[in-house]
Amino acid sequence: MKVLNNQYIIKHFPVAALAVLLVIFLAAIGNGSDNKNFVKKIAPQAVQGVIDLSDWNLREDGLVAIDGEWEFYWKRLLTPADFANDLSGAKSLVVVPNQWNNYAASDDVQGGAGYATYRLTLKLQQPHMKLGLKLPDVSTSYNIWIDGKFLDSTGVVGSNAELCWPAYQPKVLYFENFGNTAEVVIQVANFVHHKGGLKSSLQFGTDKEIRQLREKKLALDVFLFGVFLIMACYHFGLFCLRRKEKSTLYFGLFCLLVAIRTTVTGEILVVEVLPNIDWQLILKVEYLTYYLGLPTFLGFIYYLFPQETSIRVLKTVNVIGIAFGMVVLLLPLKVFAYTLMFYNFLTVAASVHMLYAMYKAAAANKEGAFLFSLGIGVIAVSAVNDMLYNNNLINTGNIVPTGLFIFIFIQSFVLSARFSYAMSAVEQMSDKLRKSHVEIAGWNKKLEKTVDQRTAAVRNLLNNAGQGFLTFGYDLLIRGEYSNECVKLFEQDIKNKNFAKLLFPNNDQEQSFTTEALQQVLDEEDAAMQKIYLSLLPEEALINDKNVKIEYKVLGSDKNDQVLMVILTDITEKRLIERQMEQERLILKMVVRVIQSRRDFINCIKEYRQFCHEGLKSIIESDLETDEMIFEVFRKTHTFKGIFSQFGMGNITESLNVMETELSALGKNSVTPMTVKELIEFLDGFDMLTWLDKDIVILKEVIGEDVLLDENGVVISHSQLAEFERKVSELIQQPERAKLLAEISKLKFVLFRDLFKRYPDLTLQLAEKEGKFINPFVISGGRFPVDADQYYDLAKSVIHLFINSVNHGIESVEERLAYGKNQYGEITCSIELSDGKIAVVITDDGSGIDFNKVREKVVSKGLYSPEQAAVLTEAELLKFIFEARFSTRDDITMLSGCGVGMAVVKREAEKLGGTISITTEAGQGTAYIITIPYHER
Amino acid sequence: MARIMIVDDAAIMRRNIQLMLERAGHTIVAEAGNGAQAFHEYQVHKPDLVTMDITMPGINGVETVKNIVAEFPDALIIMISALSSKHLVLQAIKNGAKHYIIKPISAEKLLVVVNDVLVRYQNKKMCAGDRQWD
Repeated sequence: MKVLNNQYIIKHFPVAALAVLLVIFLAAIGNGSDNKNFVKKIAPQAVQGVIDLSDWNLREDGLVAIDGEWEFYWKRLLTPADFANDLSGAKSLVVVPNQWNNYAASDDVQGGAGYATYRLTLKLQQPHMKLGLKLPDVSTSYNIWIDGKFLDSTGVVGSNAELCWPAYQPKVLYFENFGNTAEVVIQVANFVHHKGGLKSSLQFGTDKEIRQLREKKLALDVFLFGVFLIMACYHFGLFCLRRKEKSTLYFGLFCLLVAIRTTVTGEILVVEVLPNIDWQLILKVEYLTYYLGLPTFLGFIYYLFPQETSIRVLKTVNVIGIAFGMVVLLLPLKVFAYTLMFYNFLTVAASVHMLYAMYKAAAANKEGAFLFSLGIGVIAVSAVNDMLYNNNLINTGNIVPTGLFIFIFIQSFVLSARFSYAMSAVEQMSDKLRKSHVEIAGWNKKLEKTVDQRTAAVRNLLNNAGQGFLTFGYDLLIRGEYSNECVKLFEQDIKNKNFAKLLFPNNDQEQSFTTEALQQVLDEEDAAMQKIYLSLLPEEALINDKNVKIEYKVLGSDKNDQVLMVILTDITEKRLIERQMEQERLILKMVVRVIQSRRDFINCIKEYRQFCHEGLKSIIESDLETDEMIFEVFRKTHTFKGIFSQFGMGNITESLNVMETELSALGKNSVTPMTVKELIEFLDGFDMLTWLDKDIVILKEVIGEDVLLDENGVVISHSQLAEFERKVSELIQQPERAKLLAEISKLKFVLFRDLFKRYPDLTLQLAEKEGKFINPFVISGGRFPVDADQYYDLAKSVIHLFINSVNHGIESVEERLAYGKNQYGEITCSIELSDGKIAVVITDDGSGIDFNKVREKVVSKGLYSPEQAAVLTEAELLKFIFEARFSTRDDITMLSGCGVGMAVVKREAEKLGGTISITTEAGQGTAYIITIPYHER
Repeated sequence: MARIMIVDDAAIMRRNIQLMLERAGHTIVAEAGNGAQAFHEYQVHKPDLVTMDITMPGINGVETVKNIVAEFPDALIIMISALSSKHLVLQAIKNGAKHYIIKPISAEKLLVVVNDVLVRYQNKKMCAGDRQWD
């Protein structure tokens, strides 16, 4: 708030300062001053006991303080009669107002005690005026006569302490002057106060003016009393509401003390209310309010500006103030009066400190410090003034009340300012809060949106994970959020459905078991036990004919809030593949076993077939009893079953097992023995030979047609044969040796066609790989024996021809159809022997060799220029195909169009003394012809 | 190195389990062939751990577990069950059994479960024989 801002005040300082000064000035004048200095005329002073007011128009020129030289009769109580009869005696002249301690005439005064008579003669303008006289508090008792008439007394005047009775009471007296003069005689006696006599001025004027003066002063005192009392109550109220602010308490106390002080100073209100109040009490209260007032005020300052005010100063003042207060309370005026001077010094010192503290506070820019300093300054000034006035050094009057009034005004203003400031701060904050609310609401919306987005993202993720995720709590009802896969698996919407029921719709027992186990998991706190319960639950289930893997997870850290998540994975395909793999494994096992014990296998098959055909019959036709027969058959089938089981032949093993079981049941069951006919019928029901065929078919597929071929021979390895050859060479002489070696060689002979045996299959596989379609083919011809070793390399190299045909010869289906060819390509392989020459012909009905491509390749290889390449004949180009250099890998890849394999085949053919040629026709096909001599050896 | 009691109505099974456990360093302090005997033997020997077959004549395994645990709340009992009796296992665990093994029993399975229970509930160190199964 601006007014609390010190800079603001300083800027407007001139105005504020002037205002304050003006107020002080007015107060000083209005309050205590008995001198109306602003009046144009200056009132005359009394001289030699006479005051000449014959030129003074009381009505116009106003009141007069009848100060100056009065007649003074020390230690004489004289009446007007005494003066009339001239019995006054020696007179002295003293200046009034003043305490008679200061007079030379009364230099034997001791501690203010004594008695005297004052006399003044007034010279007036007119006779018979209605006049008034205002008497201040006189120390401490008096009698007053005017114009010989006894007007009033205050207290009891006496010549010694016993006879004298003190009283303070400012009074007004009205009288009428007889003639042009008026004689004032005042007897004063004092035995209690340390200052005696007419300490203050008497005011004189028209009765009306005097009355007005008195009323004005009274009113002011009452007003101030009221103000200070209200302020005290108000601050006490503030303190009650907010105990933290000790400053309000001290200020309230201070205001209270000042309020009390106003009743015992100035017009001394208390006497109006309690006329018989003990005069000492008035004095004591006056002192006490001062002695207690200073620490209270200092305390107030301290709690307002604790950093700037010294606590030590405060404590010191507190101690002294309370101590002096006790002195005032307990001891008579004569004693405690002397403490006043000392206390005044303390007040000055404290004031200096206070002003310094204020300065520091203003420098530290504490709120309202400047205004405060101003207020304190005002009080300080008025306090100083009062001190001086009360010591009769100046004649202004007590203005501390007014000064305090100003200060309190400032203080109230500051308080109100603070209050307003607090209110507007609250309003601002409410505003801010409102705005924040709106902002927060906005953020909330944003957050919700973000959460929604994230949830959607997660849901999306789960839905695309290919696994079913669902959750449920203790009630086993599936919660809202689950992935789409669940719906696919269960083939229904699963929200709020019971999980156990969904899983085992037709099995009540499983349902209840699952429910119990799941609920145990959720009841259980120990994670290890949870795992154990979960392990009892099914890991796999059949849902709508799908094999589904089930995993369980417990979610939620808060034990009361735990939820189970189930992850479902469709493993139908996986199981299918596993089954297929298992089947293939078993088949392979069977194949391996069969191959390992080929001889035994073939014998076994023979025996079984023989049993089926003849063995059974012989049992039937024997002399045994039917149950014995049954037992025999049982025994045999059991044996066969065991053997076939060893070979891993699953089908027949299973079938024989069934037969066995039925036979055994038959045997146990027969109450009445079977007839043979019945037995034959029974046995006919078993298709024993067909069972075997099933496995044989599988074996043939894998091993080949000759699985059953019973060579009834010996198998020997190549190394064995080589060893044999060596031995023959060692041990047998020529010419038998050559003959024998030839015969041995013949052992190694195979049919020439067998060297090419695998090519049809291989070519077919290759075509499939390349995405080409060809008809299966067989090797024709070549049924003559040859030494396998001799023709082995050539036969191996021929693969390149087939590769060429598939890769470059046979076109894609679209192309073939476009050319009007059959969508399936034709590849053939024929072997002929004539005139000692073997001809191997491999053909394809593809696109033929593209000679342009060959030309391009030749050019790109840098062997010919384009012009040269253009004139090359087909024959020359063909030769070039065969003459590929394959020294580096790069060459091979660059010439991939024609295939390096050709060169390999050519080489092999020539090694055997043969040749290779190509016939090709664009769009029709290609034929590779290998011609090699036939060595019969 | 725990003190173990074996409960099974088949002596062969008991022998089997005994061999497996003893080879791993545990001590068999008691045997029982039925529920009542099991309870009695437990009272007498207070073993560290019990292996108990679920299907037994008379008082079956589930009941026996309940009885023993009621009297001795700290009892550690491992159920041995066939695959078809999983629902009985659930009841046994609800009654206070700590773990279970499904037949057929291998030494490996048995020792892993025994150790798990011992470690969890008694913080016993692993027997030396178990190292090979790590």
